[in-house]
Amino acid sequence: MMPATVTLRLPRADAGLALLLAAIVVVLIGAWPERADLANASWYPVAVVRTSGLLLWGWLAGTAMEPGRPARRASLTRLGVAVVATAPLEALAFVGSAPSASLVWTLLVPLPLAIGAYGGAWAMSAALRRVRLGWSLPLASPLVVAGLAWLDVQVGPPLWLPWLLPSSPSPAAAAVNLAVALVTVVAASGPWLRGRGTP
Amino acid sequence: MPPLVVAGRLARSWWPVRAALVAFVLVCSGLVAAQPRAELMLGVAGAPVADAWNPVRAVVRDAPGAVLRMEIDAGGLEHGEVPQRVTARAAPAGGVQRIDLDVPFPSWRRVSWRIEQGERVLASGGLGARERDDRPLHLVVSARPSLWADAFGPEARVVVATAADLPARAASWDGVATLLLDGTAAAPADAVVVTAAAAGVRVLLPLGGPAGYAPLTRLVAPGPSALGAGSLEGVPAAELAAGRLSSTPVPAWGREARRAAVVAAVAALPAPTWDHLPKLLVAGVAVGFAALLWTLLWLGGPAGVASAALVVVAAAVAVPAAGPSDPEPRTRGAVILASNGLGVRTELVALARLPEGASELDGRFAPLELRRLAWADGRTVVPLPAGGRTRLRGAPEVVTVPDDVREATGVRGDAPEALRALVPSGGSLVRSGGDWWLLFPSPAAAASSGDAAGPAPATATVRGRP
Repeated sequence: MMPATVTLRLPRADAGLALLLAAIVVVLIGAWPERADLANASWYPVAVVRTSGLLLWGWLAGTAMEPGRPARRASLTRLGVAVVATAPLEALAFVGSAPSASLVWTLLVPLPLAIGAYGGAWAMSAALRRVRLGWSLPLASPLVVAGLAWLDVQVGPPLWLPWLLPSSPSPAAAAVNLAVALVTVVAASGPWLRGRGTP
Repeated sequence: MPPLVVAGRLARSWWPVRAALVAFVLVCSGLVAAQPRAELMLGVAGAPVADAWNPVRAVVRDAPGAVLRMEIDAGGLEHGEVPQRVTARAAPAGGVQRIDLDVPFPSWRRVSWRIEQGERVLASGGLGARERDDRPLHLVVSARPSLWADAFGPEARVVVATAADLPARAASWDGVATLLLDGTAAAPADAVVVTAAAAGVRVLLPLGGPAGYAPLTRLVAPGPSALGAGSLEGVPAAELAAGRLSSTPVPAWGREARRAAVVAAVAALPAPTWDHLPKLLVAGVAVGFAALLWTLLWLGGPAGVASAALVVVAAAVAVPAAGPSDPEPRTRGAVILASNGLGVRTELVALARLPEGASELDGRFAPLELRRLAWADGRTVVPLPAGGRTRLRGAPEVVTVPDDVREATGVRGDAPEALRALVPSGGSLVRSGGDWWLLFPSPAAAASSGDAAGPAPATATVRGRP
């Protein structure tokens, strides 16, 4: 991923955004009905792809361990830009499908989710590197993701699962994801972490 | 002292106790009389018919605002529980109040009902699967009903009724095949008899009878005739006295033809559609938006970011225009089987729904397939999944045939084959608005085609839709 324009603190497009936009566009076109007598059910696959893509982006960016506060801020900003840039495509699918779901929820929930994923991955990779197990990151990542998914299935209302979260708004998911995202933002901006690369 | 004198004194000394007892009994009987009461009758003459519309009458006394709740389980081993719920309210007034409605009874597994006022249940009851019977009724209004026990065949479901049992609405006659009045019991109103015939019932009336039957005997004096979807036929006095029916039924649409016409017409009902944006347009807009946005962000800088923000804002403003104008499209139609100026009309509705939820229709409609739904206060509530569809039929109602339809002849070439197959030789199949009119051959047309339809139209006053 390209670094942010450091001087102006402005984000720039990169391959990750291109991939995400392309995936959403392909799914949107593929799911849009060809005939008027077919029901438009394009929103759900688009929402799943967008939420999953942003979640994956946040997780991968978190494991990249970019040193320094500006780099971390740039990563989070890029996530925010990706959430905003992909929102109109999901809104288009939502309006066309008229589902019995919340548009505000489905557009906004990927932001704290992706930032939380960034924070979680960042914390995990930092902890592994501190105990000199950085080499196990490719193995630990899927294990942790699978564990979190299992935990989400067990606890009741969906908190993280991207194929359930867009259509299942809940105060618990909002609270958990906002709290994790807030902690991540504070930790990424904190002066006490400057240059160390640990949360 | 003589014993009688002693008894008299004792009686005089106990009179306050007796008076108190009498007063107590009077108060108790008053309280009992003041208790709200409720009762329910299902079906014509208390005989509900499965797979048919049935009259439901609840009578409540001194229970303002009483509510009738009925749950019909239309499920079975294969589908599990499929509840269909009915809710109807009595007027919020004292005295005797009636709730009269027609309910489409499926082939039920269980029917349970209760009449309640607030938290208090005034009456309740139910029907089990063993009481389910889909055979149509042969109603006999007679003071000698035993005479007619075998007149309709060994498998027939013969039910004895009184004139007061006969419903006035066409939908209530859905489960009735024959109505026989032999002139020995009180006569019903002629409008009730005409409604029954128009709804598809074979009505058998005495050719002569007591004075109260004069309006009815006049209906069959010119001879047997088809009327609406049914027929009016006279029965000679000799047959009435012997308790046998020897005459062959007059050619008419009949109950089965009416049901077949509904099935054929609902299959021909255009499917409701959504006005989605064309896929090509959506593809162009989505690709263009993504490419433009990415390029602007790739260029970077304040100008690029500001332009990208403007593009996002413009997209957000334009997105609402992509929605379908009606997320719950519906198509409506009707099929009418008519003869001699009267017809029975069944409204048909096909509805679809993009979002998951419940669609509401004014009036009571019956599903054409097994599904859960509710009828509440004169409305039909149909829960549907996202993108779900269903077709429903309304309650039959009697209508008069308009002049433009009456004068039309022949069978439309673009009519559905299943409907065309129902029309007998000499009959007509007319499209008027969204309605299909199936006209039984007039007596003249029937005579010219060698048919044996009745010679003269029956005329009677009946409330109908023009």
